Amino acid sequence: MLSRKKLDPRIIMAFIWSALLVFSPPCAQQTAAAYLGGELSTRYVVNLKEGDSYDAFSSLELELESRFGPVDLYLNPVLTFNFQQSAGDAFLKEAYLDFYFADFDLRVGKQLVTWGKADGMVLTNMVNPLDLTEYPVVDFADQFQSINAVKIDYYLSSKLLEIIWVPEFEPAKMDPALLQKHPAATIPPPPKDLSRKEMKSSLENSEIALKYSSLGQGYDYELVAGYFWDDEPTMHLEEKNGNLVMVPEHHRLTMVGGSLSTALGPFVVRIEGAYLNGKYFGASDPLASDGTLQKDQVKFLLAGDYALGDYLLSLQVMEEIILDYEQGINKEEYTELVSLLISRSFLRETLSTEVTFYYDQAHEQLLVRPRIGYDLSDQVNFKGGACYALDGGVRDDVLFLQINYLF
Amino acid sequence: MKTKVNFYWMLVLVLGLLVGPALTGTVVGSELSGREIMEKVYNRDEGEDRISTLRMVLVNKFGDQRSREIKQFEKNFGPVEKKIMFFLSPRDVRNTSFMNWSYDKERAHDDDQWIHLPALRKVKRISAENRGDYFMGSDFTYDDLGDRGLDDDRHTLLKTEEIKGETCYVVESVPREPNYMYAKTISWVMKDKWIGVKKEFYDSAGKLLKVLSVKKYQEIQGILTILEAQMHNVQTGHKTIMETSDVQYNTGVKDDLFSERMMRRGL
Repeated sequence: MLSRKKLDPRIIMAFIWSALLVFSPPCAQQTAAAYLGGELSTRYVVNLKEGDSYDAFSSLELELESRFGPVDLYLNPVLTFNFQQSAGDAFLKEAYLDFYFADFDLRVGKQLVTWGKADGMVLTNMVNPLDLTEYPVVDFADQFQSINAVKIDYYLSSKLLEIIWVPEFEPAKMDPALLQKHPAATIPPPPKDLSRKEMKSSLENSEIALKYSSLGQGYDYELVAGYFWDDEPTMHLEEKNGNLVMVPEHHRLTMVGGSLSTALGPFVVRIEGAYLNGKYFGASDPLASDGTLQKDQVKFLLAGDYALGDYLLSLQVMEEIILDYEQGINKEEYTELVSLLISRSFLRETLSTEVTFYYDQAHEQLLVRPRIGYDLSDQVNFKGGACYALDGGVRDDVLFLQINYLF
Repeated sequence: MKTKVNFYWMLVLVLGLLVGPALTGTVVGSELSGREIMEKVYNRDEGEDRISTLRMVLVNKFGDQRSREIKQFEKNFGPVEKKIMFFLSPRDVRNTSFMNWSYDKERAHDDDQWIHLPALRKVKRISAENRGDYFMGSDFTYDDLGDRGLDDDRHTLLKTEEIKGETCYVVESVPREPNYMYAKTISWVMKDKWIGVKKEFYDSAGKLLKVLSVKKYQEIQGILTILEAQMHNVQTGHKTIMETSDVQYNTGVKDDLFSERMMRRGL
């Protein structure tokens, strides 16, 4: 019998891959379809605060799809190059196999999963950790990191039961500007002890998530639950050898929630809520001996989309509430995040324009993000825009222009 | 009969007011009213299900062309008519899919519509009310592509006229809805065949806006099917050519094709 220590998730993943490849229906001889496409992009970003400071990036993104009978292979490799830093990178954005059976589908590999009805706000959409290093964000999906996971979608008529197992925890990639501007203000910068930050790869440390959803007449809904790790580490203050040290540590987080969307005439109403159990918050409360307090948290979103003539308006209001609140927590009991998107396309949808306003109470900022896109042809398009703080602002104001060649 | 906009019933439905299969054994006389003519056009056999590939070529006034390709599946479930469309090209819309469920008038229920956005890994519900928007940058509005109700308009037979050697009824249809996007439409319906060969759309000021012309049609499995049509916006000079191919009727399209699973999975 295997001891628990031997149940390494990587071994389990390898076993699943092998078993699927061996026992999946015979398919090697029946290659039905293959697709190779890609996108070459170059982006210039001008920092408005620092005058002549700018960055230039290029990226080559490929998409390979190959179908072998009931099995699909999907690969999405990306090459990037930063001209200012003369540095490049290569990574797989997604890489997975899909296995299709009569009543269920199985996806194994590096993947992105989206839950919930909110656009650009995180409530129940907790399967993939955030990547807040991308700035400015041109494509919303770039705000999330793909993860290695096994996903089973089981279909019961129009209902779906989704089970996701994430064998290895990946922390969020934090926004460096946010970290600089919002340190734990009352705490001097002590040295860090990273001994508890790294997560050991083990079955006990894996994550699991469930979704039960329906899409049908009148309305759609999702009921979700997950046993995750908090993607952001909690900064515990501890005394070691007479010195104060900061010990970042990830904690378990249990989430239950749901979402619903329905069309009411010209309106599409979206509702989403999440209850988080076990969330840690930084605290300056003297009773919080290690600078943290554990509290449950509720998040709630109400949103509406409305077409007004040629314009599409989308308003989202999200409220975050810390339950059993105590003075001294380094976050307000109630915080709001509001977004308003106004968009319109012109010239037979070859020219698209939009502007989004964000009000982020927690970081005391009001941002405006105008965007413009123009399709010169089916192969070449331009995207431009700005991120500008009308009030507050954690990151520098920037302008960007991106040229894309699709093939 | 469907309540209202049958969002993407593409080419056959694009020409819904114009096109109908031959009604064998039906005797039609010139004493038919405009409504009776259009009723025959509406009450045609469209099969229980249909599979087709649609190619739209968008041509601007300078002659520049862009094309979009779509695979679509449609099925009549009795009280509800479902269709799902998979966008094949160009690349920026590839793997996008759209699904529409259209309900009987008796159900008094708006269409349900969803779009799968692969970049967001998300299936989003959208409102079916935006009937005046242009579909994928073409010259067809969603309402043009829809299955407009027979009694949404008042139909008047204006005259008969010869087009390409065929005698056509010329029927004017004026919407009952006062603020509808068109002041009126005029359809040329081929006598005995109940096929439209031409349709004119007039803007709210009463000025000619668009002309739809059928270029090619063919009987497939006993159902007359439009294979090529052109919509010309005479005010902007923009044109859209719609070509339909690989048409199959009554193949027994599976019910579960019209689901979130297939929207995400694609073809």
